[in-house]
Amino acid sequence: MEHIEKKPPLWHYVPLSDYAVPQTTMSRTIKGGIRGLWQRLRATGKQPEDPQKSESDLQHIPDEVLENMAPNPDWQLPAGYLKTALDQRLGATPDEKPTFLVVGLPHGGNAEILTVLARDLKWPLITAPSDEQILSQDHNWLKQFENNDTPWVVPALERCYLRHVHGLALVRQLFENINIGAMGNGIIGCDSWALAYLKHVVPERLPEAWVAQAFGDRRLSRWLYELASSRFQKPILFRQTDNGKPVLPIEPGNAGPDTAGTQVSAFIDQLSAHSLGIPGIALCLWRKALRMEPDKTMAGKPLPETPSDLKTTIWVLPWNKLGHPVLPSPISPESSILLHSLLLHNGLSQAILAEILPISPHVITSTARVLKDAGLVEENQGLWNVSPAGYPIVRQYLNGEGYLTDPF
Amino acid sequence: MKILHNLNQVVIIEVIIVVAAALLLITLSQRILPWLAERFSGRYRLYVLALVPVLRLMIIGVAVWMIISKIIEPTIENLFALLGALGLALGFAFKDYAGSLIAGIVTLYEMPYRLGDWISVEGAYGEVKSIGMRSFEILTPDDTVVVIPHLKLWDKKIFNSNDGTCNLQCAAEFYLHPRHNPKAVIQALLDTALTSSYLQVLKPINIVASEKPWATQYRLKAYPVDPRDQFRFITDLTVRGKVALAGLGVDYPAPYALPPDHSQSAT
Repeated sequence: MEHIEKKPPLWHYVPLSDYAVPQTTMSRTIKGGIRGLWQRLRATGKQPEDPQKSESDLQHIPDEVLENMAPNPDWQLPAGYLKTALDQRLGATPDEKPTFLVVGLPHGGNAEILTVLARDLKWPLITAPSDEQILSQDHNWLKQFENNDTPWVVPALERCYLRHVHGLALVRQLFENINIGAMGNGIIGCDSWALAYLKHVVPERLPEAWVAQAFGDRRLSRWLYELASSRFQKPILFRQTDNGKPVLPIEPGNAGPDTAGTQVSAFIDQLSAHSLGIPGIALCLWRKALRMEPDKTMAGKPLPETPSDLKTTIWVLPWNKLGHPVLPSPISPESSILLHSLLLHNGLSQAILAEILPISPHVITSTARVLKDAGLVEENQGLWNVSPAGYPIVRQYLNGEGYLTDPF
Repeated sequence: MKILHNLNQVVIIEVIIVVAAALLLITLSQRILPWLAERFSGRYRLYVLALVPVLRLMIIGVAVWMIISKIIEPTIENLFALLGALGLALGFAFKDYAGSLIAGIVTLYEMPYRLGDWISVEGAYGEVKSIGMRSFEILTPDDTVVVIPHLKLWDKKIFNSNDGTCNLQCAAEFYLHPRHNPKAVIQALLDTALTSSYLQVLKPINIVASEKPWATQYRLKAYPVDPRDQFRFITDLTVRGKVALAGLGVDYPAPYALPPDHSQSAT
């Protein structure tokens, strides 16, 4: 365990101003720009070819195996790091009882981390108001914050407002109460896009904000390795299909990817920059890139159900063969405002989209379907949201169009 | 003094080739650049559109120089003689036409309007769709093309709403019965703008109230993200603003008290 202690923490909470988006090299940026330009000019709306076709000797990894090889993160770990960061901050000014904003980027798992934190510490978890409560400006919701001996936790502030003429009152009242000290201390999780918008909506001073530092290439490399090792007992060698070079380190020990001077593969460098250092997006793309050789001894038999049935070499598609969603061209004004609204709220139901957008419900449905077919949005438990794979291109597009985006 | 070269068949064919090549290049640039611009909506669209007249002038300049050098001896005396004769002819015969051509060149560096700008000239309001050597075309919101000679540049007011940027201010107007709570009205109108999907949040929102003989007028002024959405934006502000004001129980002035023309407008 000693070598693990020497490594910097995987999850590192910093003040908002210290957030650093991972960068890639100039040549890769130029290549990516030219590829993006070409995709726009083609204007066919055609999706890139399935990479599996050009990798005919490899096959997709079954979902149940993939779930063990690149599992969803355990939010317990970042929750622990967040608690430590908050303790250190409060230790510096023990007389204060402040409220903190913990900002999360889309698909960064911020709400999940705060929920785990609240449950572990038995702090009151404030449930978001219903859409009806928001639109009727029901101030009874604010009573949950009263008479708490321990800090309260709002895991997702973006669920507490709607971009509707009656949808801002609750969140304004919340910050007014916080600023006059009527709420005690607490932690508010807030999506980065919602925060960018609320800064223009809430006249009050916003609380001190913290954010989990972006996953740069080295930390991402280590994180993906640790995810694979957490459930998969055999050592795995992740090799790139075109050159056979390892994508993740072979041994994660002291010579692991956090060590200065350790080479990080070009794939991980690209993955880190493209995903903007957001772990959920990086994990989604990582899963898309993994391939395995068909097991000849298993011909005619069902696919393996347990990780132990797999070979220890897993193949990773080269970055340029990993298909990414493409914006429909030309993109309609309805698509733009739909995508922007989804990001400002970190997901919305069809009914609320119809309520807040100046578009008829059937146009919303058809637009959402077109964007879903393009892989840019997805529907999960009744909520439409921008997909992890689509987020980087959607963000780039909205930023280029002049829409309000998050500062990252 | 010999001015002209011997105009044999070869020279004439060369001149025809230069003219044809220039026309081809101009036609291509006028088709390809707007097509390209449509792929880059937003501010990049305006940058690409701005290249069209500049590129055309460069092509014409090069073509004219190549033709002159083939037809006349390119000495200073010959050029002065040719330009003097040309100026005299144009001055008498095509005064307005020549004025428009010169104004067309002036527009390239003064840039009173560019492709993609929303301008108003003598009551015609629309988006500049093409800029020729003599005239330019705007497309009105009613889908009507208006051809305007550059000559207007000399003596008419040209109102440019966005001036080569994406910042085009729109105004929605509301007329309320004088008995109301102005603070609540201003907050409701501010929230109406803030919650519009078309709003450019990074630009300021202004509300201007003024007392009219028939009502209290509120002008809600804000910017859409894309200037082409200006009418959708004004409609959205108007429709949702009315709902928000109705929620406050604000009365409207009696219909007979309204002035004959109080429609919303882009400013």
